[in-house]
Amino acid sequence: MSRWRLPLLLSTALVGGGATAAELKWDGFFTSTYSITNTKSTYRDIVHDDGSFDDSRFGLHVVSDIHPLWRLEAQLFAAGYEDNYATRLDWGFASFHLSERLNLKFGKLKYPNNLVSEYYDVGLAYPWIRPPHEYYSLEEPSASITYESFSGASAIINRRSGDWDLVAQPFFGEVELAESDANISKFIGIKLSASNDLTELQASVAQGRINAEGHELDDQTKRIASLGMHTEWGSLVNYLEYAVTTFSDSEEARTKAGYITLGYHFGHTMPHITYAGFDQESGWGQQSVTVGVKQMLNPSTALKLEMQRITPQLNPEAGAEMASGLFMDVPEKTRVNAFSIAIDVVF
Amino acid sequence: MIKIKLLFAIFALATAFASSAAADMAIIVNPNNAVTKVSSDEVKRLYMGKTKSLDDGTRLIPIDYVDGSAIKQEFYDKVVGKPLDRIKVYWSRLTFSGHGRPPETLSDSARIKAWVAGNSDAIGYIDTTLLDGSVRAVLIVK
Repeated sequence: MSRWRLPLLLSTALVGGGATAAELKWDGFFTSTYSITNTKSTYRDIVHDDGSFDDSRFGLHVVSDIHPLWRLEAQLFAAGYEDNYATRLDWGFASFHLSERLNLKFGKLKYPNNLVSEYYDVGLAYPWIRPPHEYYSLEEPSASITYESFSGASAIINRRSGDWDLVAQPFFGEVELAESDANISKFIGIKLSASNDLTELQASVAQGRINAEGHELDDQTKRIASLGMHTEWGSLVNYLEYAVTTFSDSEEARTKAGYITLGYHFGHTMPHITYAGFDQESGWGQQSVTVGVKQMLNPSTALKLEMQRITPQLNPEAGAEMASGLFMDVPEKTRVNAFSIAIDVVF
Repeated sequence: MIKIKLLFAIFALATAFASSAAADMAIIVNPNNAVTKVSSDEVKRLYMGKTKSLDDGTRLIPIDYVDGSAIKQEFYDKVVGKPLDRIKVYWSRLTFSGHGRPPETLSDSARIKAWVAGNSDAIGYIDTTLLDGSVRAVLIVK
């Protein structure tokens, strides 16, 4: 499907909502980020030693209840690191609210596993300027099987037990990787979560077959098992995630990734610290410590500052001129400092 | 001297009582709705989008105030137990992942009361001093 066909279909359905004359509701988010490193290097293709605004992004969300049981919903997205702010459909689906306990979704869906995958680009929604890269990245060891939304279906099954809300979210589909001929087929997984006012717990598994002709991982199945916990006990905030990623025919590519974040709310100000890392059997890896502060300027706007100390490990598979940690090149220093400032807005 | 102290004490007590009374909020529904009582937990779950109905299955649609409203800040502090900026963060997670939107908003208590009075499945909150026969109070939040 072309980049614009699905948005057009959705907008036609939304605007021409038939006899229901469904109302369109809009929301949006925006993050403007400046990042710079202290040594000649290119980090994740978006942070350079001469500074960059490429991590800035913008999203526009539209929803319409076309029927008491049916809702159409879509989100457009643009980012500096993606073809210079070319707008694309991030996700778009129809959801069927069968009952309080069961919701079905069909269309282009966001990968649900892990704590922040579904709102990875929405800066205001979490403490960091970006969620920990060692865990949430596009690289093959990532605990995310894809950033790209998948075409398929998902069920959200709810149940309440005492103070806890229990949710099972199975899903299946297929991922067309943008700007390449690669895709992920036989994509299937499930997220289980339990949450109350203070704590959110998650366990998830997913797998998909990689079809990328010419790539060493072509025709291999990537499997991910992950655990996550997010707590807000009074003013104390904690995020903790851990994942193991394996490939069907490559023991060397087996990767463990995880991070822990601790933060504390002092009124509208939240300082936080994060330790994150990934470690692949091949020797490839990276660790980082990030210290930051999130200052809420008003309920819809946050100012963030972060200092990150990154220790990359060379990927021997890639050769001396190739990637080290999540850098695109080998940095001149063995430890790299990155400084970032961002402003997040939702509207 | 004793009279002055006594008068001062009475004045202080009256002021404290008055300010306390002014801060009370009423959770309101339409008088045609069969609901006569709700719990604070049910109200919290409705306003946080965790459910669309009360424990007995009655479906209710919450209506809220726009940001910047003093009573909204007080409601989320007292009923939900979190300040407004954390509520906004919570809703940004749900909205931009397609898991739900916050309640629709109106600008002031008069509009909230009129909305609830005109919609049989609406639930809202207003200052108790604004209560009248057009709406039914189902919970008082002190």
